[in-house]
Amino acid sequence: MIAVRAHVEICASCEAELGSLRALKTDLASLPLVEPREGFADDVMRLVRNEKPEPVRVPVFAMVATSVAAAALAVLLFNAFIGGTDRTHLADDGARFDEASDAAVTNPDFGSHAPLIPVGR
Amino acid sequence: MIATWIKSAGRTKEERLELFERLVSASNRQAHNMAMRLTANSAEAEDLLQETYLRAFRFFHRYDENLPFTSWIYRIMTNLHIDTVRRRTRLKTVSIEQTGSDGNQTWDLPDQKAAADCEVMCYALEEPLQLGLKAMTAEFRTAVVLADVEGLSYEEIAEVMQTSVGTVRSRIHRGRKQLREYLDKSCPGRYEVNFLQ
Repeated sequence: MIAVRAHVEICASCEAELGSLRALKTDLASLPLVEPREGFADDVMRLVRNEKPEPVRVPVFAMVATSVAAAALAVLLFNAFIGGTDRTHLADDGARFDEASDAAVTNPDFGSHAPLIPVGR
Repeated sequence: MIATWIKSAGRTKEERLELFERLVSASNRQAHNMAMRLTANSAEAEDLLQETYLRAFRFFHRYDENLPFTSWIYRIMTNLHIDTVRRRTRLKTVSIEQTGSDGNQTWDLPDQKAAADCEVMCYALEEPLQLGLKAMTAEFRTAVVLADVEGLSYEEIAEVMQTSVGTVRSRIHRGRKQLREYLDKSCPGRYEVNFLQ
């Protein structure tokens, strides 16, 4: 910008060009405000009242993206607070059982096809 | 964006109407001036502005209340104006002597001199400037009006015209030159580039 200004100061042709465009800009800026006719805004509002607005549609992409983000957050929170805790516990005799095998012991019908796997034995 | 939809959806029809009415009341003078500078004709300016507000109301749920309402209105108006000009230039030229199927003359041309606009436009400098604006390419005219009549910054114009700042600069520069060329013919001397002074 400074280089352009410096050039304009020494170049008569560019100075004249700039002066001409400045005069045009000034004249455009001083054009008077053309007011609407009396009652125009009321007429517009009368038409607007008969107009039905477009139904509010949230874009499908935005909805899907929001749902996916919410689901991902829920999974993360679940893992952090519940899934992250040690789900194994010590049996009375000190042996460690996982929950599946624990359930299988208390419920004879549980996982009849699954082998009982005591952990830590 | 989603917050805007939720906000708009949460309003009753009456609340939406009330807010829209306040915005129309606050913006219509400035917006009318803009429409007038774009069309150079009071009837066309009124039609353009009316259609702009109707469209704005139809899509009012998309309006982001953090942005100035006038900028949003200008965006709708410039799109409508450019579309109208393009549609008109695509229209087939038909002879005014052509007759309809009933044998009568088809065209009833308005008397341009009798138009109410003459009253508004016939100021010493305003008229050639307005006619010069009318003679410009729609995109150039819009950029020049937004910059030099409305006083918007390049960034604001880029936002309104949904284009880059570079394109805005180019349109304004080329638009001003186009306007000056027109004015050199209609008011010789005023904007003449004379570096021998």
